[in-house]
Amino acid sequence: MSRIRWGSFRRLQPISRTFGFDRGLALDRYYIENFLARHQTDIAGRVLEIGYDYYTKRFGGDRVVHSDVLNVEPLPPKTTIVADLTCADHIPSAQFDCIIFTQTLQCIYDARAAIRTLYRILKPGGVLLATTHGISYLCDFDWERWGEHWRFSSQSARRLFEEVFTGGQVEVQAHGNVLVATAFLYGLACEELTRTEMDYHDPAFEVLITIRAIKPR
Amino acid sequence: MAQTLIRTVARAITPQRLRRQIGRWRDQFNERFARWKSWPWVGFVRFGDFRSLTPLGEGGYPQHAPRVDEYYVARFLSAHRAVIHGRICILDPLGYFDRYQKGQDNPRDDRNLSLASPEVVTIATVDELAKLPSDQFDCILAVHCLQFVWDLRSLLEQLHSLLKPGGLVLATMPGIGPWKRVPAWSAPEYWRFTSRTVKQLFAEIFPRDTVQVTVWGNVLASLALLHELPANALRPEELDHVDPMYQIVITVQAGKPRDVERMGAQSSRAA
Repeated sequence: MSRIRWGSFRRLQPISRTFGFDRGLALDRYYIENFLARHQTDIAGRVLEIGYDYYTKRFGGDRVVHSDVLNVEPLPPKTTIVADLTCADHIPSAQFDCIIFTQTLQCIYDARAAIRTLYRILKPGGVLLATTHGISYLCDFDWERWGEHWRFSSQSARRLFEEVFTGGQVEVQAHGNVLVATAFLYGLACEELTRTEMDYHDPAFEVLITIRAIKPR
Repeated sequence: MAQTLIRTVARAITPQRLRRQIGRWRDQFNERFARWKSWPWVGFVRFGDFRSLTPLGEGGYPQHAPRVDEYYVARFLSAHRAVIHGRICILDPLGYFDRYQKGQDNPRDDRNLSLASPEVVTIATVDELAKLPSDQFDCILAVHCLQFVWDLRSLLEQLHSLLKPGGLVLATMPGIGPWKRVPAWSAPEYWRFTSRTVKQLFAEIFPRDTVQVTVWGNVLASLALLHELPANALRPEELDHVDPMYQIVITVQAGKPRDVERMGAQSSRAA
Protein backbone atom coordinates (compact mmCIF):
# COMPACT_ATOMS: atom_id res chain seq x y z
CA MET A 1 0.00 0.00 0.00
CA SER A 2 1.24 3.46 -0.82
CA ARG A 3 1.76 6.25 1.70
CA ILE A 4 -1.19 7.11 3.87
CA ARG A 5 -2.63 10.61 3.53
CA TRP A 6 -3.45 11.52 7.13
CA GLY A 7 -5.25 14.81 6.45
CA SER A 8 -6.04 16.59 9.73
CA PHE A 9 -5.88 13.38 11.73
CA ARG A 10 -2.19 12.93 12.46
CA ARG A 11 -2.43 14.54 15.88
CA LEU A 12 -2.29 13.27 19.44
CA GLN A 13 -5.04 15.56 20.71
CA PRO A 14 -8.58 15.12 19.38
CA ILE A 15 -10.21 18.01 17.53
CA SER A 16 -12.85 18.33 20.28
CA ARG A 17 -13.08 16.57 23.63
CA THR A 18 -16.78 17.22 24.16
CA PHE A 19 -18.19 14.72 21.65
CA GLY A 20 -18.53 17.48 19.06
CA PHE A 21 -21.13 19.45 21.04
CA ASP A 22 -19.06 22.59 20.47
CA ARG A 23 -19.15 21.99 16.70
CA GLY A 24 -22.77 20.94 16.22
CA LEU A 25 -24.81 17.83 16.97
CA ALA A 26 -22.78 15.01 18.52
CA LEU A 27 -22.58 11.95 16.27
CA ASP A 28 -24.00 9.55 18.87
CA ARG A 29 -26.95 11.91 19.38
CA TYR A 30 -27.84 11.45 15.72
CA TYR A 31 -28.56 7.76 16.34
CA ILE A 32 -30.14 8.36 19.75
CA GLU A 33 -32.56 10.96 18.39
CA ASN A 34 -33.42 8.84 15.35
CA PHE A 35 -34.11 5.90 17.62
CA LEU A 36 -36.35 7.91 19.96
CA ALA A 37 -38.16 9.53 17.05
CA ARG A 38 -38.85 6.10 15.56
CA HIS A 39 -40.37 4.94 18.84
CA GLN A 40 -41.94 8.18 19.96
CA THR A 41 -45.40 6.62 20.32
CA ASP A 42 -43.92 4.57 23.18
CA ILE A 43 -43.20 7.76 25.10
CA ALA A 44 -46.59 8.21 26.72
CA GLY A 45 -48.37 8.13 30.06
CA ARG A 46 -46.06 8.20 33.04
CA VAL A 47 -42.51 8.66 31.74
CA LEU A 48 -39.20 8.44 33.57
CA GLU A 49 -36.01 9.88 32.11
CA ILE A 50 -32.47 9.83 33.49
CA GLY A 51 -30.64 13.14 33.93
CA TYR A 52 -33.02 15.66 32.34
CA ASP A 53 -36.53 15.71 30.87
CA TYR A 54 -35.25 16.88 27.48
CA TYR A 55 -36.24 13.84 25.40
CA THR A 56 -39.52 13.32 27.29
CA LYS A 57 -40.59 16.82 26.30
CA ARG A 58 -39.19 16.68 22.80
CA PHE A 59 -40.56 13.31 21.71
CA GLY A 60 -43.38 12.71 24.20
CA GLY A 61 -45.34 15.92 23.69
CA ASP A 62 -48.99 15.69 24.76
CA ARG A 63 -48.91 11.94 25.23
CA VAL A 64 -46.97 12.36 28.47
CA VAL A 65 -49.26 12.53 31.49
CA HIS A 66 -46.58 12.75 34.15
CA SER A 67 -42.86 13.23 33.73
CA ASP A 68 -40.22 12.15 36.26
CA VAL A 69 -36.47 12.73 36.22
CA LEU A 70 -34.11 10.40 38.03
CA ASN A 71 -30.62 11.34 39.14
CA VAL A 72 -28.09 9.77 41.41
CA GLU A 73 -27.47 13.19 43.01
CA PRO A 74 -30.21 15.77 43.70
CA LEU A 75 -28.37 18.33 41.57
CA PRO A 76 -30.15 19.07 38.27
CA PRO A 77 -33.17 21.25 39.10
CA LYS A 78 -35.85 19.02 37.58
CA THR A 79 -34.86 15.90 39.51
CA THR A 80 -37.91 14.27 41.12
CA ILE A 81 -36.33 10.95 42.12
CA VAL A 82 -32.89 10.57 43.66
CA ALA A 83 -31.69 7.00 43.44
CA ASP A 84 -28.82 4.71 42.61
CA LEU A 85 -30.39 2.20 40.22
CA THR A 86 -28.36 -0.70 41.58
CA CYS A 87 -30.03 -0.38 45.00
CA ALA A 88 -33.26 1.59 44.58
CA ASP A 89 -35.72 -0.23 46.80
CA HIS A 90 -37.44 3.04 47.71
CA ILE A 91 -38.88 3.46 44.19
CA PRO A 92 -42.27 1.68 44.14
CA SER A 93 -42.69 -1.14 41.61
CA ALA A 94 -44.73 -1.11 38.38
CA GLN A 95 -45.34 2.60 37.97
CA PHE A 96 -43.87 3.78 34.67
CA ASP A 97 -45.26 3.32 31.17
CA CYS A 98 -41.99 4.31 29.59
CA ILE A 99 -38.39 4.76 30.73
CA ILE A 100 -35.91 6.74 28.62
CA PHE A 101 -32.49 5.46 29.58
CA THR A 102 -29.92 7.08 27.29
CA GLN A 103 -26.14 6.73 27.67
CA THR A 104 -26.27 5.66 31.31
CA LEU A 105 -25.70 1.91 31.37
CA GLN A 106 -21.97 2.27 30.69
CA CYS A 107 -21.54 4.27 33.90
CA ILE A 108 -22.97 1.56 36.15
CA TYR A 109 -20.57 -1.12 37.30
CA ASP A 110 -23.33 -3.56 38.25
CA ALA A 111 -25.32 -3.17 35.04
CA ARG A 112 -27.45 -6.27 35.70
CA ALA A 113 -28.78 -4.87 38.98
CA ALA A 114 -29.68 -1.60 37.23
CA ILE A 115 -31.60 -3.43 34.50
CA ARG A 116 -33.45 -5.47 37.14
CA THR A 117 -34.51 -2.24 38.88
CA LEU A 118 -35.70 -0.73 35.59
CA TYR A 119 -37.70 -3.88 34.91
CA ARG A 120 -39.24 -3.78 38.38
CA ILE A 121 -40.40 -0.16 38.17
CA LEU A 122 -41.91 -0.57 34.67
CA LYS A 123 -45.63 -1.31 34.46
CA PRO A 124 -46.54 -4.61 32.74
CA GLY A 125 -46.52 -3.74 29.04
CA GLY A 126 -44.26 -0.74 29.74
CA VAL A 127 -41.39 0.08 27.39
CA LEU A 128 -37.73 0.71 28.14
CA LEU A 129 -35.88 2.76 25.51
CA ALA A 130 -32.15 2.48 26.21
CA THR A 131 -28.99 3.48 24.38
CA THR A 132 -25.32 2.93 25.17
CA HIS A 133 -21.84 3.17 23.65
CA GLY A 134 -20.05 0.42 21.77
CA ILE A 135 -16.97 2.36 20.68
CA SER A 136 -16.18 5.62 22.43
CA TYR A 137 -13.59 7.50 24.40
CA LEU A 138 -14.24 8.46 28.02
CA CYS A 139 -16.30 11.49 28.93
CA ASP A 140 -14.55 13.82 31.43
CA PHE A 141 -17.85 14.73 33.07
CA ASP A 142 -18.94 11.15 33.77
CA TRP A 143 -15.43 9.93 34.55
CA GLU A 144 -14.96 12.42 37.39
CA ARG A 145 -18.40 11.84 38.93
CA TRP A 146 -19.41 8.20 38.74
CA GLY A 147 -16.88 6.69 36.38
CA GLU A 148 -17.41 4.83 33.14
CA HIS A 149 -17.14 1.08 33.26
CA TRP A 150 -18.26 -0.68 30.12
CA ARG A 151 -18.64 -0.60 26.39
CA PHE A 152 -21.24 -3.08 25.20
CA SER A 153 -21.66 -4.99 21.96
CA SER A 154 -25.10 -5.73 20.55
CA GLN A 155 -24.58 -9.31 21.71
CA SER A 156 -23.89 -8.47 25.34
CA ALA A 157 -26.71 -5.90 25.36
CA ARG A 158 -29.13 -8.48 24.00
CA ARG A 159 -28.08 -11.09 26.52
CA LEU A 160 -28.17 -8.67 29.47
CA PHE A 161 -31.67 -7.44 28.66
CA GLU A 162 -33.09 -10.82 27.64
CA GLU A 163 -31.97 -12.32 30.95
CA VAL A 164 -34.13 -9.78 32.79
CA PHE A 165 -37.01 -9.26 30.34
CA THR A 166 -37.84 -12.95 30.13
CA GLY A 167 -41.07 -13.50 28.24
CA GLY A 168 -40.96 -9.90 27.07
CA GLN A 169 -39.70 -8.49 23.83
CA VAL A 170 -36.15 -7.21 23.34
CA GLU A 171 -35.03 -5.45 20.15
CA VAL A 172 -31.36 -4.57 19.92
CA GLN A 173 -29.80 -2.61 17.09
CA ALA A 174 -26.25 -1.44 16.49
CA HIS A 175 -25.29 1.66 14.53
CA GLY A 176 -22.10 2.99 13.01
CA ASN A 177 -19.18 2.25 10.76
CA VAL A 178 -15.46 2.94 10.70
CA LEU A 179 -15.87 6.52 9.45
CA VAL A 180 -18.39 7.39 12.14
CA ALA A 181 -16.27 5.67 14.79
CA THR A 182 -13.14 7.62 13.91
CA ALA A 183 -14.97 10.93 13.44
CA PHE A 184 -16.63 10.38 16.83
CA LEU A 185 -13.31 9.67 18.54
CA TYR A 186 -11.82 12.88 17.10
CA GLY A 187 -14.85 14.83 18.33
CA LEU A 188 -16.34 15.75 14.95
CA ALA A 189 -20.05 16.57 14.67
CA CYS A 190 -22.89 15.36 12.47
CA GLU A 191 -22.57 18.43 10.28
CA GLU A 192 -19.21 17.14 9.04
CA LEU A 193 -20.50 13.85 7.64
CA THR A 194 -23.30 13.09 5.21
CA ARG A 195 -26.49 11.28 6.11
CA THR A 196 -25.61 8.36 3.81
CA GLU A 197 -22.29 7.98 5.59
CA MET A 198 -23.91 8.00 9.02
CA ASP A 199 -26.62 5.51 8.02
CA TYR A 200 -24.19 2.96 6.60
CA HIS A 201 -23.98 0.03 9.03
CA ASP A 202 -20.88 -2.09 9.56
CA PRO A 203 -21.25 -4.80 12.25
CA ALA A 204 -17.57 -4.57 13.22
CA PHE A 205 -18.03 -0.94 14.27
CA GLU A 206 -20.86 -0.81 16.74
CA VAL A 207 -20.54 2.81 17.85
CA LEU A 208 -23.96 3.01 19.44
CA ILE A 209 -26.34 0.32 20.66
CA THR A 210 -30.09 0.96 20.97
CA ILE A 211 -32.34 -1.32 22.98
CA ARG A 212 -36.12 -1.39 23.10
CA ALA A 213 -37.42 -3.78 25.75
CA ILE A 214 -41.04 -4.42 26.67
CA LYS A 215 -42.08 -5.90 30.01
CA PRO A 216 -44.55 -8.78 29.51
CA ARG A 217 -48.14 -8.23 30.59
CA MET B 1 -32.35 63.25 41.41
CA ALA B 2 -28.57 63.43 41.02
CA GLN B 3 -28.17 61.31 44.14
CA THR B 4 -30.46 58.59 42.81
CA LEU B 5 -28.55 58.60 39.55
CA ILE B 6 -25.22 58.26 41.33
CA ARG B 7 -26.61 55.50 43.51
CA THR B 8 -27.96 53.58 40.51
CA VAL B 9 -24.67 53.90 38.65
CA ALA B 10 -22.68 52.93 41.73
CA ARG B 11 -24.85 49.90 42.26
CA ALA B 12 -24.49 48.90 38.66
CA ILE B 13 -20.70 48.93 38.83
CA THR B 14 -20.00 47.14 42.10
CA PRO B 15 -17.24 44.59 41.51
CA GLN B 16 -19.67 41.71 42.08
CA ARG B 17 -22.21 42.86 39.55
CA LEU B 18 -19.51 43.76 37.08
CA ARG B 19 -17.90 40.39 37.44
CA ARG B 20 -21.25 38.68 36.95
CA GLN B 21 -21.98 40.76 33.85
CA ILE B 22 -18.55 40.05 32.40
CA GLY B 23 -19.15 36.37 33.11
CA ARG B 24 -22.44 36.54 31.25
CA TRP B 25 -20.80 38.21 28.25
CA ARG B 26 -18.04 35.62 28.28
CA ASP B 27 -20.57 32.78 28.30
CA GLN B 28 -22.49 34.36 25.44
CA PHE B 29 -19.27 34.82 23.50
CA ASN B 30 -18.14 31.26 24.16
CA GLU B 31 -21.49 29.85 23.16
CA ARG B 32 -21.61 31.79 19.93
CA PHE B 33 -18.01 31.20 18.96
CA ALA B 34 -17.50 27.70 20.38
CA ARG B 35 -17.30 26.12 16.98
CA TRP B 36 -14.56 28.54 15.94
CA LYS B 37 -12.36 27.83 18.93
CA SER B 38 -10.90 24.52 17.85
CA TRP B 39 -8.96 24.25 14.62
CA PRO B 40 -9.80 22.83 12.10
CA TRP B 41 -13.21 24.50 12.03
CA VAL B 42 -16.33 22.71 10.84
CA GLY B 43 -15.92 22.29 7.10
CA PHE B 44 -12.14 22.62 7.28
CA VAL B 45 -11.25 19.12 8.44
CA ARG B 46 -9.13 17.35 5.84
CA PHE B 47 -10.06 13.67 5.86
CA GLY B 48 -7.13 12.47 3.74
CA ASP B 49 -7.53 8.76 3.09
CA PHE B 50 -9.87 8.35 6.03
CA ARG B 51 -13.16 9.36 4.46
CA SER B 52 -13.81 5.71 3.82
CA LEU B 53 -16.61 3.44 4.96
CA THR B 54 -14.32 0.42 5.06
CA PRO B 55 -11.12 0.13 7.09
CA LEU B 56 -8.08 1.21 5.07
CA GLY B 57 -5.93 -1.68 6.17
CA GLU B 58 -8.42 -4.39 5.30
CA GLY B 59 -6.39 -6.80 3.23
CA GLY B 60 -3.85 -4.11 2.42
CA TYR B 61 -1.22 -5.20 4.91
CA PRO B 62 0.36 -8.53 5.82
CA GLN B 63 -2.09 -10.37 8.08
CA HIS B 64 0.49 -10.85 10.79
CA ALA B 65 1.93 -7.36 11.01
CA PRO B 66 1.18 -6.42 14.62
CA ARG B 67 -1.67 -3.99 15.05
CA VAL B 68 -1.70 -1.23 17.63
CA ASP B 69 -3.32 -3.29 20.40
CA GLU B 70 -0.79 -6.08 19.89
CA TYR B 71 1.96 -3.51 20.15
CA TYR B 72 0.68 -2.42 23.57
CA VAL B 73 0.31 -6.02 24.73
CA ALA B 74 3.90 -6.68 23.67
CA ARG B 75 5.10 -3.56 25.53
CA PHE B 76 3.33 -4.69 28.68
CA LEU B 77 4.69 -8.23 28.48
CA SER B 78 8.24 -6.99 27.82
CA ALA B 79 8.01 -4.70 30.82
CA HIS B 80 6.96 -7.65 32.99
CA ARG B 81 9.34 -10.22 31.57
CA ALA B 82 11.10 -10.54 34.91
CA VAL B 83 8.00 -11.82 36.69
CA ILE B 84 7.01 -14.34 34.02
CA HIS B 85 8.75 -17.45 35.29
CA GLY B 86 8.14 -20.80 36.91
CA ARG B 87 5.00 -22.69 35.98
CA ILE B 88 2.97 -20.60 33.58
CA CYS B 89 -0.60 -20.76 32.36
CA ILE B 90 -1.51 -18.97 29.14
CA LEU B 91 -4.97 -17.88 28.01
CA ASP B 92 -4.53 -16.45 24.54
CA PRO B 93 -7.57 -16.95 22.28
CA LEU B 94 -6.49 -14.34 19.70
CA GLY B 95 -2.91 -15.58 19.46
CA TYR B 96 -1.41 -12.24 20.57
CA PHE B 97 1.00 -13.88 22.98
CA ASP B 98 1.95 -16.52 20.48
CA ARG B 99 2.89 -13.92 17.89
CA TYR B 100 4.68 -11.83 20.50
CA GLN B 101 6.79 -14.78 21.45
CA LYS B 102 7.66 -15.65 17.88
CA GLY B 103 8.50 -12.01 17.59
CA GLN B 104 8.33 -11.21 13.92
CA ASP B 105 8.04 -7.63 12.73
CA ASN B 106 8.89 -6.02 16.02
CA PRO B 107 12.48 -4.84 15.83
CA ARG B 108 12.21 -2.70 18.98
CA ASP B 109 11.86 -5.65 21.23
CA ASP B 110 14.79 -7.68 22.45
CA ARG B 111 12.88 -10.76 23.39
CA ASN B 112 14.46 -13.63 25.16
CA LEU B 113 11.25 -14.96 26.56
CA SER B 114 11.53 -18.61 25.74
CA LEU B 115 8.55 -20.37 27.18
CA ALA B 116 8.88 -23.59 25.24
CA SER B 117 9.32 -25.63 28.39
CA PRO B 118 7.05 -28.27 29.93
CA GLU B 119 6.26 -25.68 32.57
CA VAL B 120 3.88 -23.91 30.21
CA VAL B 121 0.21 -24.84 29.99
CA THR B 122 -1.80 -23.23 27.21
CA ILE B 123 -5.55 -23.12 27.67
CA ALA B 124 -7.58 -23.75 24.53
CA THR B 125 -11.09 -23.36 25.97
CA VAL B 126 -12.45 -21.89 29.18
CA ASP B 127 -13.84 -25.25 30.27
CA GLU B 128 -10.30 -26.61 30.55
CA LEU B 129 -9.66 -24.25 33.45
CA ALA B 130 -12.16 -26.03 35.66
CA LYS B 131 -10.34 -29.34 35.19
CA LEU B 132 -6.99 -28.04 36.42
CA PRO B 133 -6.01 -28.64 40.06
CA SER B 134 -5.68 -25.50 42.16
CA ASP B 135 -2.59 -23.80 43.61
CA GLN B 136 -0.21 -24.74 40.85
CA PHE B 137 0.83 -21.75 38.72
CA ASP B 138 3.40 -19.06 39.44
CA CYS B 139 2.07 -16.86 36.69
CA ILE B 140 -1.10 -16.68 34.61
CA LEU B 141 -1.13 -14.66 31.40
CA ALA B 142 -4.66 -13.70 30.35
CA VAL B 143 -4.04 -11.96 27.02
CA HIS B 144 -7.09 -10.28 25.49
CA CYS B 145 -9.47 -13.00 26.60
CA LEU B 146 -11.79 -11.50 29.23
CA GLN B 147 -13.96 -9.82 26.57
CA PHE B 148 -15.15 -13.30 25.55
CA VAL B 149 -16.22 -14.25 29.08
CA TRP B 150 -19.79 -13.71 30.21
CA ASP B 151 -19.31 -14.40 33.91
CA LEU B 152 -16.16 -12.41 34.63
CA ARG B 153 -16.28 -12.81 38.38
CA SER B 154 -16.29 -16.57 38.38
CA LEU B 155 -13.48 -16.69 35.81
CA LEU B 156 -11.33 -14.44 37.99
CA GLU B 157 -12.11 -16.62 40.99
CA GLN B 158 -10.93 -19.63 38.99
CA LEU B 159 -7.70 -17.86 38.05
CA HIS B 160 -7.17 -16.93 41.67
CA SER B 161 -7.55 -20.50 42.82
CA LEU B 162 -5.17 -21.79 40.13
CA LEU B 163 -2.38 -19.50 41.33
CA LYS B 164 0.14 -20.62 43.90
CA PRO B 165 0.25 -18.33 46.92
CA GLY B 166 2.53 -15.49 45.89
CA GLY B 167 1.69 -16.09 42.21
CA LEU B 168 0.82 -13.34 39.76
CA VAL B 169 -1.80 -12.83 37.10
CA LEU B 170 -0.97 -10.53 34.17
CA ALA B 171 -3.98 -9.60 32.08
CA THR B 172 -4.61 -7.37 29.08
CA MET B 173 -8.04 -6.16 27.97
CA PRO B 174 -9.42 -4.02 25.15
CA GLY B 175 -10.94 -0.59 25.80
CA ILE B 176 -11.38 0.84 22.31
CA GLY B 177 -11.31 -1.27 19.17
CA PRO B 178 -13.40 -2.76 16.40
CA TRP B 179 -15.76 -5.54 17.40
CA LYS B 180 -14.09 -8.55 15.83
CA ARG B 181 -16.39 -10.67 13.81
CA VAL B 182 -14.46 -13.83 14.74
CA PRO B 183 -15.64 -15.36 17.99
CA ALA B 184 -13.17 -17.09 20.26
CA TRP B 185 -13.79 -19.71 22.90
CA SER B 186 -17.11 -20.25 21.11
CA ALA B 187 -18.38 -16.92 22.44
CA PRO B 188 -18.80 -13.51 20.83
CA GLU B 189 -17.06 -10.45 22.19
CA TYR B 190 -19.16 -9.10 25.02
CA TRP B 191 -17.21 -6.32 26.69
CA ARG B 192 -14.88 -3.40 26.36
CA PHE B 193 -13.34 -2.28 29.63
CA THR B 194 -12.06 0.87 31.31
CA SER B 195 -9.36 1.19 33.96
CA ARG B 196 -12.07 1.56 36.62
CA THR B 197 -13.85 -1.68 35.77
CA VAL B 198 -10.57 -3.53 35.70
CA LYS B 199 -9.52 -2.12 39.06
CA GLN B 200 -12.86 -3.02 40.60
CA LEU B 201 -13.11 -6.48 39.00
CA PHE B 202 -9.68 -7.55 40.15
CA ALA B 203 -9.91 -5.88 43.57
CA GLU B 204 -13.02 -7.97 44.30
CA ILE B 205 -10.92 -11.14 44.06
CA PHE B 206 -7.31 -10.08 44.69
CA PRO B 207 -6.04 -7.85 47.52
CA ARG B 208 -6.51 -4.25 46.42
CA ASP B 209 -2.93 -3.19 47.05
CA THR B 210 -1.58 -5.86 44.67
CA VAL B 211 -3.74 -4.68 41.75
CA GLN B 212 -1.81 -2.39 39.42
CA VAL B 213 -3.68 -1.05 36.40
CA THR B 214 -2.04 0.69 33.44
CA VAL B 215 -3.70 2.21 30.38
CA TRP B 216 -2.28 2.56 26.86
CA GLY B 217 -3.45 4.56 23.88
CA ASN B 218 -4.42 7.89 22.42
CA VAL B 219 -6.69 9.18 19.68
CA LEU B 220 -4.21 8.72 16.83
CA ALA B 221 -3.43 5.15 17.84
CA SER B 222 -7.15 4.38 17.98
CA LEU B 223 -7.54 5.71 14.43
CA ALA B 224 -4.80 3.34 13.30
CA LEU B 225 -6.38 0.45 15.19
CA LEU B 226 -9.88 0.99 13.81
CA HIS B 227 -8.50 1.19 10.28
CA GLU B 228 -6.44 -1.97 10.88
CA LEU B 229 -3.18 -0.23 10.06
CA PRO B 230 -0.01 -1.90 11.36
CA ALA B 231 1.54 -0.33 14.45
CA ASN B 232 4.63 0.70 12.50
CA ALA B 233 2.54 3.14 10.46
CA LEU B 234 2.99 5.39 13.51
CA ARG B 235 6.17 6.55 15.20
CA PRO B 236 7.00 4.91 18.58
CA GLU B 237 6.57 8.22 20.41
CA GLU B 238 3.11 8.58 18.87
CA LEU B 239 2.14 5.09 20.00
CA ASP B 240 3.56 5.57 23.49
CA HIS B 241 1.75 8.83 24.21
CA VAL B 242 -0.89 8.05 26.83
CA ASP B 243 -4.20 9.90 26.84
CA PRO B 244 -6.19 8.52 29.79
CA MET B 245 -9.50 9.27 28.03
CA TYR B 246 -8.55 7.02 25.08
CA GLN B 247 -7.86 3.66 26.70
CA ILE B 248 -7.13 1.25 23.85
CA VAL B 249 -5.56 -1.43 26.01
CA ILE B 250 -5.87 -1.81 29.77
CA THR B 251 -3.30 -3.99 31.47
CA VAL B 252 -3.32 -5.25 35.02
CA GLN B 253 -1.04 -7.11 37.35
CA ALA B 254 -2.52 -8.72 40.46
CA GLY B 255 -1.07 -11.10 43.01
CA LYS B 256 -2.34 -13.83 45.30
CA PRO B 257 -0.95 -13.21 48.76
CA ARG B 258 1.30 -15.75 50.40
CA ASP B 259 -0.51 -16.97 53.44
CA VAL B 260 1.13 -16.68 56.81
CA GLU B 261 1.95 -20.37 57.14
CA ARG B 262 3.80 -20.53 53.87
CA MET B 263 5.60 -17.32 54.66
CA GLY B 264 6.78 -18.96 57.88
CA ALA B 265 7.84 -22.13 56.08
CA GLN B 266 9.80 -20.18 53.49
CA SER B 267 11.59 -18.02 55.99
CA SER B 268 12.55 -21.03 58.09
CA ARG B 269 13.87 -22.74 54.94
CA ALA B 270 15.86 -19.63 54.14
CA ALA B 271 17.28 -19.60 57.62
